Amino acid sequence: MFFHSFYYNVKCQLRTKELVFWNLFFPIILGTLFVSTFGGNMQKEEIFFTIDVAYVAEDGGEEGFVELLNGLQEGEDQLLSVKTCGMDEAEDLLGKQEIRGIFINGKDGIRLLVKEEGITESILKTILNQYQKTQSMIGKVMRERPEKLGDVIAGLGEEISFVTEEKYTEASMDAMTGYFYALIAMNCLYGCFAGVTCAVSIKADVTSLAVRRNIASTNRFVVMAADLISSVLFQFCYTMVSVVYLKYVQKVDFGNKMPYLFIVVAVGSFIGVATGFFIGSVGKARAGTKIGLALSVTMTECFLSGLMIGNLYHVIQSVCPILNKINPAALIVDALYSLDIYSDFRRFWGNMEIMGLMSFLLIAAGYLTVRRERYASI
Amino acid sequence: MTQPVVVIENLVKRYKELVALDHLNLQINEGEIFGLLGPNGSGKTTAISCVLALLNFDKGSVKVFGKEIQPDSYDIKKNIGVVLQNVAVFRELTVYENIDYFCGLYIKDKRLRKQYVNEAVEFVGLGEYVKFYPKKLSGGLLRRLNIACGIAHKPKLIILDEPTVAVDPQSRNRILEGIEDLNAQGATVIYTSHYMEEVEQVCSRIAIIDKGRKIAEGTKEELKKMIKTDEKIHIEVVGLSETQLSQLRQLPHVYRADYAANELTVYCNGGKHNIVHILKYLQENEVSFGRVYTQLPTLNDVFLEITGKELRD
Repeated sequence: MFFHSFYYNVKCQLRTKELVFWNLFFPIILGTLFVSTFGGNMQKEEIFFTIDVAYVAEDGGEEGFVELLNGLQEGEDQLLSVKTCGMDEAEDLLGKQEIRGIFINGKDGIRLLVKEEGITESILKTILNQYQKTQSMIGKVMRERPEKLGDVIAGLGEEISFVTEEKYTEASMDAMTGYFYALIAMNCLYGCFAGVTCAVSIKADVTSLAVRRNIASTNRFVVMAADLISSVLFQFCYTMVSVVYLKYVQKVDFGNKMPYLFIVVAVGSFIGVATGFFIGSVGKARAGTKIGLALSVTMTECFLSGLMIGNLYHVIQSVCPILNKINPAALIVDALYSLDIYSDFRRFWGNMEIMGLMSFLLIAAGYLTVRRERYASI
Repeated sequence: MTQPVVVIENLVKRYKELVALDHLNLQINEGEIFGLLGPNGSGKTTAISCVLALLNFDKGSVKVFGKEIQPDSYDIKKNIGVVLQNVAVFRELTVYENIDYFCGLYIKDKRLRKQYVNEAVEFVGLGEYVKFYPKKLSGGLLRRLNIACGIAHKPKLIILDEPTVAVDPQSRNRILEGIEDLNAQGATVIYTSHYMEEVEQVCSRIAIIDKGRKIAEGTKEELKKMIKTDEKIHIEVVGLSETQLSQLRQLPHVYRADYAANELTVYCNGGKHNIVHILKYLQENEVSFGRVYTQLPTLNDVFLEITGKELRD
């Protein structure tokens, strides 16, 4: 009975033109418009903007790092604007968001203090990381192969000035990808349409089809599970088609994180369908009304995650971070950002866990609503 | 002796202040085509929904095949087929796929299911349309598909809730013949309708309900015997005076006479040659008349006499 229902639900999904359009073609069209609107120029502009930082020199610090900072302030493609000051003033500037980070040069080495996490902070980390690697390398060469020191120093300037080529996590640094992350989130969350359909197809007080299914001799839970699983599978496939299209046809750089994109899309599709299922389960409104409501919820989530205004996610992160923790679209975007910023996957898996838990709760709440055995009215 | 298939006892269902079913008692026996006749809003669909364990109710009990039916009574449900008032099919699936899907909710065996689906297609005469999507079907064909989806698994009890609403005469006849065929094959049928002609045509026993109450039950002959009218005589008459109408009401066996829009309707209870007496009176009083015809009482007359209103009000 499960596979029978699963098979026919897959057929229905394939033949529902509205679903195919909104879940497959619309994200592709939107992604294509993003690429054609932003083009390749945005990448340059975003990379070569100047980052305001503070430099705090403590006793016993390294002098070489100051020279590096001075070098990064020069030229047409000035990367940094450095203000040398005391720790209190630097912290004050960071608190007011007038600078994006503080380099603290002390006897224990050089440290970087940032307030937020994003591409800018990632660049600062890369600069520091590169400097420390170089320092370490020079020290090692001096100890082990002093005759090669000249060659190493000769190549040093070239390497340090090419900051954007050496990435902390081998991930994309293109700020435009933020829009595509939000687009992927939207695509996943469009699973809400199928989720609403799953719910109303089992609510005998909303549709006649549900009446017919309720009076059949197959357990309602089996039919519901078949519908939900096939819907998640479909949403996953639709979204992956969009991702593959963006990566290989539109050449959007998602770095080397395709396997993780698979995971994000799978969990994102799950929460999309779960959200729709919950909305569809509650109340006796018509299916069309519920789909409208689900669309409104999804688009609000996507808006807050930065689909329309690129940095809105970061603004919310500084003003009301809890909102980003309960917004599935923001969680998807953040999970993808975290792959750019961190070398470990703690934050990524944390977001996946939150989304998984939310999906489970939404489906459980929806099921508790639709599982009732008899209706008061039909 | 035939076994009761459905037993409804003292069933009460309220929607807030409205009493939809008011201590309803029904017994449907094996092999019957049982008609549930009543105007729109009389409680027919509510009663059916209670039989199917879809609706909760305030009081009473519903037994199907001798057992109290519950939403998870799958062993009972596998023997029930339902044709809903609203067409309930997937618009994304073809005629064949729709029947196969719903049949598959009852029949696991693929080969048996295929056979049943083909038989259902044949039964409703949709052989030419198996690859059509529902939106390509006319209203009548859609109704037939709706029926096929409800009966493909060969249930022992078939409930048809107003299956001929908005159906052309050709499809209606086919549906009614089909119901008789299903019954001949051994199925017990519950047929709800507000079309008295259909109920009269196919049902072996009939319950008339109004405002959630059963007001009469029996075969159509038994029901008609419950009322005074044995014969209704219609005569096209021009210029009948009130005095003449009163005198007509005094004739033997005439208990009621109405005159409106040049048509005289005379209701008689018992007696023979009533029409002769009436026409003789009209001739003697030089009242010109035209078309004359008589009519035996219908279920509408039964309903009218018991409730004081027309069945289709």
